[in-house]
Amino acid sequence: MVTSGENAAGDTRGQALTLEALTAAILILAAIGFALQMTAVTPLSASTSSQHVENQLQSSSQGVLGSAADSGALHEAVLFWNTTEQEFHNVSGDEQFYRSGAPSNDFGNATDQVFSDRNVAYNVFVHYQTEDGVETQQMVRQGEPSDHAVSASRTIELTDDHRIVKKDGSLNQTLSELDDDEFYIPQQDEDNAHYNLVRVEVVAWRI
Amino acid sequence: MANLGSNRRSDRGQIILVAAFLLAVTFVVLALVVNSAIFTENLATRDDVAGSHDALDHRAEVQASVGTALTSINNENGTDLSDKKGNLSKSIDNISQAGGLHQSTQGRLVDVNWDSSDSEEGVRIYQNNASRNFSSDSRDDDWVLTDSGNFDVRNFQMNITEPEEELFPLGGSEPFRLVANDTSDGDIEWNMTVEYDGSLPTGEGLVVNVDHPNHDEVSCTHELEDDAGFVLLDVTGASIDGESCHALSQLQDEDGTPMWFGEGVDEYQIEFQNADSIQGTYSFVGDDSMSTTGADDHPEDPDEAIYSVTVDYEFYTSQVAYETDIRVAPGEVPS
Repeated sequence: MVTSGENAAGDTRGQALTLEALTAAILILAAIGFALQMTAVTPLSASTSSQHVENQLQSSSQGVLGSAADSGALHEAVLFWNTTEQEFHNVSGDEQFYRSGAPSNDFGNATDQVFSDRNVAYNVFVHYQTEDGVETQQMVRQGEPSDHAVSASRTIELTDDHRIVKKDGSLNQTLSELDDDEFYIPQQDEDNAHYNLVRVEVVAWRI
Repeated sequence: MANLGSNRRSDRGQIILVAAFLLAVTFVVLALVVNSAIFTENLATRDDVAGSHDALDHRAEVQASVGTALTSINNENGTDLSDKKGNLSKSIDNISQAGGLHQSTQGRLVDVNWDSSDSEEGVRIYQNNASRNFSSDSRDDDWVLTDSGNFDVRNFQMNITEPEEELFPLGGSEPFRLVANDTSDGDIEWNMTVEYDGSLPTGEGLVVNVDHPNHDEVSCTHELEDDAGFVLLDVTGASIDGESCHALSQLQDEDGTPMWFGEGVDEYQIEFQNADSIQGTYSFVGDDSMSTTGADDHPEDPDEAIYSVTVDYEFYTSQVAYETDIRVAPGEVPS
């Protein structure tokens, strides 16, 4: 039987018990904090900034360029140039390139379907060779890319017998018949069939 | 009696400490398990980090670029084979130099080389007069274009002008037929007919029917744009005005039956039948086993042409080194 003067674990053990309980609590809290902090969040974890989202956008950009190159739509887009006004056909405003909308040709329809319906903005550049190196002509500008923008490009060959495309899609003169200042891409070498090698680059980002 | 109770009760505090310690170890071990699951998923879903698919993507681009130059050079009428080879050699040098510059801005070193002996010669048969029908030089409507042989044909393109006026309407008795005829074995032939259909609900259309020994006739229809004036029919590329035509390529049945040009016949000669039922230009390139010595007179003399070239391709980045030969034969039918 317990006498009245004694409590459960003895008189002098109170502070030691409190200390042990506090230590136990601190130990558990530290362990929980450590375990939660240790859980890894990687670029491939499921989130809106996952690397997979960027990779997917890169793949679909590459796909659009590939299928456009295969069907000839990419050649048509590069050659869709108004030689008198020195700009792409159906451009609004003062610049030579398309703002806000897509080009009014098969390539523009394809990029519209792939990008615009999915809230992806894009810029299109055409890089071509000159005597001074590689120069760039902008084809589409829809804004300043975000930090998560991806870039995809496709190289196509232009030969002397490719023709400039008119506004209605019909063909005009061949590239070898043009004067130097009528087309933005210069002829690289006159004594063979090669006219220029052009790289079309699409920079896309989610908005 | 021994006072066991008080002994036990005085030690209870340390049980709390031990329990807390055990719980802490459990949490750390669980965190370890979750981390290994996350790391495994990360490793398993990693994309192509080294960039090896860039080497293959660019290989396809080089093949297309050299193919474009080759087609353009072959289309130059009246030049002989050595001129064409010289032109192609300079073009490929330019492509290599320009391509190398473009790729160097992306951190890659690319080189394309061609030894002019690495090529297959061939013959290009063509007609450039767009207002003429497809009959022979002596105006025969049924005529033979090549000798019989086991040869390959690539880049067979027809630019049909005035389709609504010149083509035979659907169901007529004598539409234009392109035939790959195996004369050694009776009636075995691959053939294609081109007809005009004015009764489509959406407007006017071009109907292409393909028939070969291993399958029944298949047809595909292409709607013509108003006032287009011409239709581009790519026989070996299986497309009409850029839209693909399954009747010329491969069917989507269980066997994936191929319908390509020359399917089902080994040795054949190329014939046109009812050549007055079509008007426009045509062009195709055959390899060096194709000859025209016994054929009927062509409206324009066949030209020497380059059938295919093989270029050396090298691609280097800091992580990938890739070298291969690329055979370029644009518009060739898959074998």
